[in-house]
Amino acid sequence: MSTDGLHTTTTEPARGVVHERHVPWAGPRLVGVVLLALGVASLVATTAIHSAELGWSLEGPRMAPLIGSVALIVLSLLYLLRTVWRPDVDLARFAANEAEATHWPTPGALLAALVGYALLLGTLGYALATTVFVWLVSWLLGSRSPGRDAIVAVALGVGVGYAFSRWLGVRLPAGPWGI
Amino acid sequence: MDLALLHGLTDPVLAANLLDGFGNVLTVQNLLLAAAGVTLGTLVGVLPGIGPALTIALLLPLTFNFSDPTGAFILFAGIYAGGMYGGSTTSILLNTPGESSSVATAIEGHQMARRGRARAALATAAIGSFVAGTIGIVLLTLVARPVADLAVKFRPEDYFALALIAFASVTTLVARSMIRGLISLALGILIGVVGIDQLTGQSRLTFGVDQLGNGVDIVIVAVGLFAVGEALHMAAKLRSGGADEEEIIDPGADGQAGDGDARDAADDGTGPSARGRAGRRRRNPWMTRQDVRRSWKPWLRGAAIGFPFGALPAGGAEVPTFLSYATEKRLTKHPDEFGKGAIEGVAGPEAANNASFSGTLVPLLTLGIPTSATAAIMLAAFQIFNLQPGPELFDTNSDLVWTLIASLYVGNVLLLLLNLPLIRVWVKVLEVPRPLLYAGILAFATLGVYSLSGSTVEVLVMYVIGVLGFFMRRYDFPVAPVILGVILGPVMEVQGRRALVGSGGDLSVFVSRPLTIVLLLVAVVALLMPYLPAIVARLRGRRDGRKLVFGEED
Repeated sequence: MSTDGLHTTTTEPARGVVHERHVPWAGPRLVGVVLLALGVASLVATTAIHSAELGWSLEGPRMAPLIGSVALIVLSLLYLLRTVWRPDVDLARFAANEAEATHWPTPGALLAALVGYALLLGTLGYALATTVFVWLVSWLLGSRSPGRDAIVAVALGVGVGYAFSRWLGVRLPAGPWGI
Repeated sequence: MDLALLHGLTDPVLAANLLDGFGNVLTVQNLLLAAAGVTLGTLVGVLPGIGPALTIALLLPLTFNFSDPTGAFILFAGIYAGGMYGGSTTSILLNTPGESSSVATAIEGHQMARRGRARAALATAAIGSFVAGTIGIVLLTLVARPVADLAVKFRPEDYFALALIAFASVTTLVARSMIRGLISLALGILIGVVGIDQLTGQSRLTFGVDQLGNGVDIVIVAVGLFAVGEALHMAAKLRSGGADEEEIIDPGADGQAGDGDARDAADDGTGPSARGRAGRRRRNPWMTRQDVRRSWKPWLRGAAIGFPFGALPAGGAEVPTFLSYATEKRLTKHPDEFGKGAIEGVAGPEAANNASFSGTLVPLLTLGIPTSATAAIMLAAFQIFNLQPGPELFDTNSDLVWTLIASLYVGNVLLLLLNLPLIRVWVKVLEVPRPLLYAGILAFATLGVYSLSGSTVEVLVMYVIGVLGFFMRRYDFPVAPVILGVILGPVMEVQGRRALVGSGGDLSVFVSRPLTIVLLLVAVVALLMPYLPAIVARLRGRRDGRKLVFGEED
């Protein structure tokens, strides 16, 4: 995020010469298909809403999800169309730049750490789980100062846990050690 | 309008309400809360890439357990004001605007900083925020009640149309492609309908998961999309060196000041101000007399541009900041400095940004319609306390409304008192190592949602939404319309259905009154606004028209 955030045009000057056929379309297309699937899934779920008296009437409970799902289906088809016909090269190039800058194992490991954190929060208690999580994630993200990270992690886990549960009355899982 | 304002100034009821509000704020406990809010808000807002919306989303849980909403809202007003101020510090010193409304500040502010004028840029931003913020709050004080009285006459179909305006303006202005903006909005609307239908009690789109019966809380969506999504997105690039080109500029440094000041002095010509600058050069002053002379008009113009744009449901703070930037660029006597660090280009947009926030509080408090992502999260804070902003709020919770408005005044003053003297602290915050920063954001996000619900399932739902936010960022989908859809979708649905029930299912209810028709037309204009430059160019026979789009980070 830099001042690049200001875009006065949809057709930015190309950084380097990237021809359309060299732009990878697999990512944007996959996203379109997933969106389409989401739209279809919510349309199917919409038909399952009980609406005995009101049925499909405008003021019934099915209308809003119906509009939402149909809109999503139509829009994702339009989005898919723009990957084939009059292709949105800016988008593909944006996605390609993102992909190039991405170190895939990192978000994957991060997500695993998050899920582990959520599941172990109750068992380990807030303070310990947070300390381990912060320390581990800092390391995952490339920090190579385990000593410093450990100090910050303990401060965050124990300090925040204490402050929130004592001063703000937030109920946090105590764990076997009572904090 | 003028008469109404004059009437407002002498209105004893308003004065009494506001005095009551100040009476509530000016207690030791509440002042401490305001100071804590301002400090925390700045602290989090200064963190690179974190704007006010994310600041508020992350700090929302702090207010969950307040038994008294007044204290919570005082803290909250402080957090907001601080978050906004912190964002401008980051833009100036690090060139990393936390949100699109700070982008204009970053353009000139960072150049000023590079030329050794960081302290002047920070000062004009801070004082400009204070001046424009105060003007905006005064205007809010004066127009809130009249607008609320007007809004009592609004019928369901008018609320439906208002929601459409908010959808149209936010979606089209923040998205680089209208298809992607509308997809985000549709996703938000679908997330918004999950759970029990308010009117018939039927369960909708829960896909058989019991925990979804109560719907997906807006806090979960906001924290997931903003905090988890952003952290995953930035973290993914961390190890391939995507984030290490950052250079923090020390505001006290004189290293690069030489050429900047020498050039300034040469440009300024002779006279007392140039001599004054030369005399104080070594102390690296906050603002010289020349700076003040060049800043005060942009502050006032920024306030004048910012407030109405915020108050009309027209896309929040992005438009007025760029409009102010363009205005200053046109009016300046130093056009050669624009792009290289013109102080007007910091003063104007920062003022517009703050005034526009006070403006967004008008539709938020009086109509319950948020017109920016930040306002949408503010609305979530009201909902946590079972308060529904809207015309009735001024009758049922008059005390709270006026205390909130009074606390905005107090927060603004505290901000000015605390921030510039503490600039060394904020520079240290900028230096926080990125791995620890993102680890901390993720831990706080989890803490927030866990303390809201006490349930692991909701935390996992938040992570899923975070993954959605991650991919939305990678494929350039704007996230603000999702938040707006989740919050306003249900409002729009309920109002639309009420209107239809009232009319016996006759759709003409939406075009039967002039007010509703005007509102619907405004929605259409808002939808087409980004294409106006292109349409105008087409009409003039040129084909180089460009679509007007403002980047959106959070």
